[in-house]
Amino acid sequence: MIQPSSASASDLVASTSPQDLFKKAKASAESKQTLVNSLVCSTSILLSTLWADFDTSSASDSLNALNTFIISSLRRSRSSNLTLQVALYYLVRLSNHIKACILKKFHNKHLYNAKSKTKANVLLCKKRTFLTCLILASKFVQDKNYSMKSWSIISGLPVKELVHNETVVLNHLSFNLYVKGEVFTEWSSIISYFIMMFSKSNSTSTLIKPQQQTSLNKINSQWKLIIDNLDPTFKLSKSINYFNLLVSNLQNLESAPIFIESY
Amino acid sequence: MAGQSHFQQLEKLGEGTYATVYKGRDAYTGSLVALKEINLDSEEGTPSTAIREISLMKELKHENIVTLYDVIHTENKLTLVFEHMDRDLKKYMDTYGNRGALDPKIVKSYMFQLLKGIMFCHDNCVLHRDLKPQNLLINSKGELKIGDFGLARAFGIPVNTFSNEVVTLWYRAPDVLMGSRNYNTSIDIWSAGCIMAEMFTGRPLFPGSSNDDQLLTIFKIMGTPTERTWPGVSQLPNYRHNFDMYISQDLGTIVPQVDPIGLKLLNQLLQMKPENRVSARAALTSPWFSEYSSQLGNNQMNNSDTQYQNQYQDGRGRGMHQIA
Repeated sequence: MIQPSSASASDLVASTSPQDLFKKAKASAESKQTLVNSLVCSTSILLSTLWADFDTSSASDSLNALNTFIISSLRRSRSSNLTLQVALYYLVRLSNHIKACILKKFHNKHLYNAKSKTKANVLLCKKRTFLTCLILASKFVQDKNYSMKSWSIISGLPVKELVHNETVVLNHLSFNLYVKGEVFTEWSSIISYFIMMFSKSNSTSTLIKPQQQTSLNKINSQWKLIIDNLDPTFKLSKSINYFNLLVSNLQNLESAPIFIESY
Repeated sequence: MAGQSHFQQLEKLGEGTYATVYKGRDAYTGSLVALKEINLDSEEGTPSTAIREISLMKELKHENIVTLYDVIHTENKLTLVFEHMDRDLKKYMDTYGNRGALDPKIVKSYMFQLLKGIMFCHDNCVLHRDLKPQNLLINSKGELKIGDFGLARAFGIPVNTFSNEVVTLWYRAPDVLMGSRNYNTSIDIWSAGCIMAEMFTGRPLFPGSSNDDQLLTIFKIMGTPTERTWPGVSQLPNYRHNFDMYISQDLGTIVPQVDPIGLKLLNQLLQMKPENRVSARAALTSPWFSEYSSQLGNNQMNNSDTQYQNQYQDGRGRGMHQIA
């Protein structure tokens, strides 16, 4: 009997163990740099999706700007892959609050057309919200943490604002920062799936080219489906079902590779 | 999460490293509560200890874990509203013990409840990391509940940078004292063993004065570990080849109040090598607890969450590299 020499996409997903999936994602990402690039691009698209400002006709410029911000935040804070994944999970848990915030702003604009003198809600800004989630994830996951002063140097935002943002986000999350092991494992496999989508190319850069628009749109719509399928308790269960469906279709992806070309 | 407090603050119950605890009364129901006040530093925001304690205790609802009712967040203060307990185990031993020593029947009841609480934490992938008599709360109904999760952490998600500066010195496991950062649930089991001996004798089992002295205090009773008795011990960061050599003593002579079956359990809890320490789940099936065995519902004991522990051990350190 002859064993197939390389694993097909369906073999990849047949092993449902998320650790395996992450290892496969890592292996298919070829180098650490590619893995990081894929992770950063996935994060950018997730952020654009959450804030509903993903541009379906020319996303590359805004995504590249976001990538730069994410990379510098991660690099300066020496955040681990784990911390980032937990931070992304908090972001997804915030999705309804973000929607409500954007809606409120929209209404205020049209009803009163007044310049609000109150402090702008942190949830209106994706960079600030991402940074706050990263700080909270560090505080929850790591035994040793940077001081707010260090985060201020990392981000360029004043300490006072960082502390305020943290309070706002903590309250929106109702202080629920605990991530159950099983939920985290599932979440991690969702992220691995997106990494695999990106790392189909041998990319060495995070620069996204305009001609990738179709593929980007596809990722955006898949994130959107995952977010929309979150159940009210944010336990991901419905998303997981949907995700399993996605993964079973991974085969189709091979015909639609993503290219993130180098400079 | 109420913004306005309807809790009346009564006398101060205690002061911790990052919080002050007051007795309080719910103005609506008249019932007593414990109010843990945490001052928010305008420079540091919410301390990570408070973040962990709140988010973990919101998940851990169990009869042997103190209930967190509410969190009141004001600009410069965070107040956690807990169920009120009469006193902590330390004060209970000082007040009601015979020179601190408790009646063996009470020791058994408290140990049973402590281990049930620990099992629930571990099943939910939470390490308490600071078990000691001061953090175990007692009420007049004879109930014992675990409190103070400020040092606790979740281990369901893979982590490899555990701090070894956890657990009050006297209750700290030898592997942690020797600098291990890969500890797991066995860290809480060692503390439980120390607490069991202390309840019997009224005195702490290993009252060390510094990290090194703590190790020697343990070695004098448990024997100095060697590669033969504990394979791998010499690889621990703070292991020294010139540790004073002691041979192990019979715990039964140190804790003469304990009966032979209880002594067997005590020995299982106080194993030097962390892998040899009994799990909370297995400890609860000890014949020493036979009179309580009916209290262990089948659903409680059969629910096998251990897969996550195994996963954690297999996947230790996975994905921990710094990115970007």
